[in-house]
Amino acid sequence: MKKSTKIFLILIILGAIVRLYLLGEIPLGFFRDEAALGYNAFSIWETGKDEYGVFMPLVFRSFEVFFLPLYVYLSAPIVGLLGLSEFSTRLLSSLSGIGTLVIGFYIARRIWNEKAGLFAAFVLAIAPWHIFYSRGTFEGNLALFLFSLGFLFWIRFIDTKKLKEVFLSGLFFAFSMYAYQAERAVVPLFALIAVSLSYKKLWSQRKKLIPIIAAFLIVLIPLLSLTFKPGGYHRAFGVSVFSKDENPPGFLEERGEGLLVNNRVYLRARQVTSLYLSYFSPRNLFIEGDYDKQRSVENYSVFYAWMMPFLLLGLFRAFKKKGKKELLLFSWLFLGPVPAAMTGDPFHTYRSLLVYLPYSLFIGYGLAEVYDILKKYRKVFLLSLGGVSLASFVLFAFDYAVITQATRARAWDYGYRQIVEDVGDIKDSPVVTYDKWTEPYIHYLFFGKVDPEKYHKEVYEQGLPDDYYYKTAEEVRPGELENFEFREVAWREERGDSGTYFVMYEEALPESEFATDPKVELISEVIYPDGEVGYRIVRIRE
Amino acid sequence: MSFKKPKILIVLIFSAILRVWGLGVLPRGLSVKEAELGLSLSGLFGNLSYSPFFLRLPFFLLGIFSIYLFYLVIKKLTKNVNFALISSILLTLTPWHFIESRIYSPGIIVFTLSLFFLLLILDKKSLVKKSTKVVPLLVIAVFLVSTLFAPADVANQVDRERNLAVETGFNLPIRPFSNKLIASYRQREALIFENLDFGNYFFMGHPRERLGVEENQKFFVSLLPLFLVGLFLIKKKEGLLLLSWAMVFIFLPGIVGKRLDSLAVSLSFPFLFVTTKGLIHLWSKKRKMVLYLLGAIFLFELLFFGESYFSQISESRFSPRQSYYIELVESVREERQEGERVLVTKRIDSPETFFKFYLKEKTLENYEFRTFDISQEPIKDGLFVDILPDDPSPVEPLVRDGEYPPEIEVLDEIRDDANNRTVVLYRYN
Repeated sequence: MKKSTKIFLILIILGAIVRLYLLGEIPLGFFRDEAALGYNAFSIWETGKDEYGVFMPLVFRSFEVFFLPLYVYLSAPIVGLLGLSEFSTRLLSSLSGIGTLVIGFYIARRIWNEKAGLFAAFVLAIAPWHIFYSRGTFEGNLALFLFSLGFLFWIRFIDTKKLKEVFLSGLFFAFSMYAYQAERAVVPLFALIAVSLSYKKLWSQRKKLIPIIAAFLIVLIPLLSLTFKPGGYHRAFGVSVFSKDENPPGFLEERGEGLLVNNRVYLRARQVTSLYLSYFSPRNLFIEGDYDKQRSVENYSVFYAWMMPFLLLGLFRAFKKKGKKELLLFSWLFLGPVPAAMTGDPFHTYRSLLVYLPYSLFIGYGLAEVYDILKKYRKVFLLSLGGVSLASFVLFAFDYAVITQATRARAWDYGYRQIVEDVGDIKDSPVVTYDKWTEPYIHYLFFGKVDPEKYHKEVYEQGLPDDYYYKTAEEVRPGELENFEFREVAWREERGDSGTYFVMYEEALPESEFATDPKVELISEVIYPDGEVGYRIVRIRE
Repeated sequence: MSFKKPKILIVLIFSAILRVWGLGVLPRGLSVKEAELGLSLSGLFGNLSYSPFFLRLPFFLLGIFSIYLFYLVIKKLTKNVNFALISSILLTLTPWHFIESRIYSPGIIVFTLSLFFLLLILDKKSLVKKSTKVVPLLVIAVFLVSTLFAPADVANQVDRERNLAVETGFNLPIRPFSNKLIASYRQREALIFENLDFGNYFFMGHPRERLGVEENQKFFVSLLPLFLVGLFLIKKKEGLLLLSWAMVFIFLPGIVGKRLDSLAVSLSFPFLFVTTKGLIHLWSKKRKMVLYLLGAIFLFELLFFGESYFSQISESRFSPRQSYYIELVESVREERQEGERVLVTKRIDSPETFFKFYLKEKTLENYEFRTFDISQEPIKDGLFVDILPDDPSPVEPLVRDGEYPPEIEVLDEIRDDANNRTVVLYRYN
């Protein structure tokens, strides 16, 4: 076996171990989106219907998030065969991450050389962003894998001129659009650039292209049909800066609109530009990280800081080459943050997930270039790189697996497994859950492994209007599930409801509210890993 | 400087007019450093040192001088007068340099001195050549050594991490993973990267503004494309020099272990040098449409900045300048009776310094500056200066149902918009 093949396999195996080991346990907690994707996959497997009882939907409505469907459908057999659990729900994302390691290698190898491929795979294997998103239920990770497959086949087409590659490329790009929202914006723009750059090659085979284009359109018809329904655009429009009523940053309420100061067009353009450029800012890429605690690791951002000089070198060298494949990679890089920049959230790593793969490839290329330049000192370079990488990775692993699990448990909806274990078997008393930070009902469905058929009946009994599923973004949530209720609790009025169980987050039910009340019995507490109380379960004595 | 070539003189006069306009009045109010400077100079200059114009005049003069030095340095580097002129015009119009030339600014002092030093050594080609090869490595080495000296607050952070690890049941030795060296390195590294943020340079009020840090408009974003073009045109010798310069100022906060935002104005030199390269390149390649478009955006940004600045709405919400003191001290001066005791809360910023400055007295008779609890205060005689909505007393809040308690007579309310609070002047009935 060639040495490079051995190195490649070692990298993939190590990358796989990092992504699969204790997948069900770390991250601690199980975010509501994960529970929704997992439960819907379970429901599809068992009944062919989603949690609302809709047969094979085009999007998954779940608390008006309108998840795109591919992750759920591909997860359904996994969840069906392995059982509904955190591990089985996250497995597809993890496998997608491992797949992306492989594809990253092949992309870098095809654009540059095998060394660049190996270094790119190495970067991906240890990169904080990639480990993080390969260890949770993230449809965006599946979408990234499919997009990268589409890209790989496209650059193979550039070399081979075979239309088979165009077909496969288009297919995977189309599938990626069924996996995550960002790809719906990026793929058409990227396709425009890719087609323009290979216009002559494509035009020379235009007759053979017709069935391929027809196949793409057929694959995309369901997605296109959704585009003009609330179910298809609610998510995108809901977070866009252009659809919000609020004024752009810098607009002064006390002054009227003006040509210079308080010029809305300029201020909005400035806002979008600053959001877009934040995805190229070294401070964000190497130090600050995502603004949201649920999507960040303590002390880490997307890449390790020592990777920056290699990134700059890789970008510089690639730009100097000005090859078609480099241009495509740059297009990917510049288009990647576009969907995220259109939303108001600063440095949202999930919405911009696409951009970090080209970054990783450029870092790999930079490493390969340094390796090539240092002819006499290669061993020293590799030893130093190995030492720095090992130290970085070990410290990252500590911060990810220990510190972040302690500080971010709340952000990951930690506690519901225990809650459902504690109250799930109660049948003859009302159990009222109040948690304004998450969607408690979905956790009960997931951890309680509630029979989907039974749940569908509950939803039907709510008397929903016909055709609501895609056509309205109004809140549709179950208020109750048998004896379980999910609603706000007016504790002062309801604390006298004998026999009722209350499950509430700590701020809603501090100890002072019940400690001296003989009627209130503390059943259990959910303690976060940092020792703080997360939830309390109490029962009102008869 | 030859009178046959007055172009740089025109640039300097234009710069001076821009920077002297409203000097001392804009930005409104002084920072505590400016007030302290005024008090310390009062022995030498008497009442003149209490003039904001006088206090800011040296920085204005240094600002103009730095533009001239900048011109000379670039002219020497490029041997191209037009290049140097264009760079100087850009520096004149750079918001960052403009702002720093109108306030107390260690950054302008350092920038001027650095340019002066560079001008002196530019003729010594071998020295420059050796320095530019050594400086980047030296900077990194000094930074790494500096990480051995942990900043003061690092110990708390390490304790917190270790406690968290214990809480989670981590049963390996914690020290290798969490210690002062690692925490010190991370903190210093973060300080370095604060200087590597597009938002910090191009977008005032950007979404990741640092809490408590004054961030102002530094450069116009229309120059960014020119900078990126210019990066690919830099020759090796120029590049090493600019890199050395940039690395010193980017790494300095990490080496020292604290923010030095004012000093980073020296990064204007490499940025504008590279930008001018890009500008001239596009002009020579006849990419006029691109330049006209960028020029139009630049002009708009310039006018926007000008109107914002001169209307006093461009001040950062974390500006150190406390403009409310102008009204507050005047109000105290008017309301205070002869020899009356004045009790000023220390919950407003550096009150003693500002009162001394605006009253033009290095020692104040019968003034007290401390935190106080109005319900516990034994002596109710005198004039009180306090803030809202913080209640001085949990037992006897100053404001109840939007109305002041009847036992006090409110004499004046001065709004401090920057800190979203009201300073109240009152006496007890």
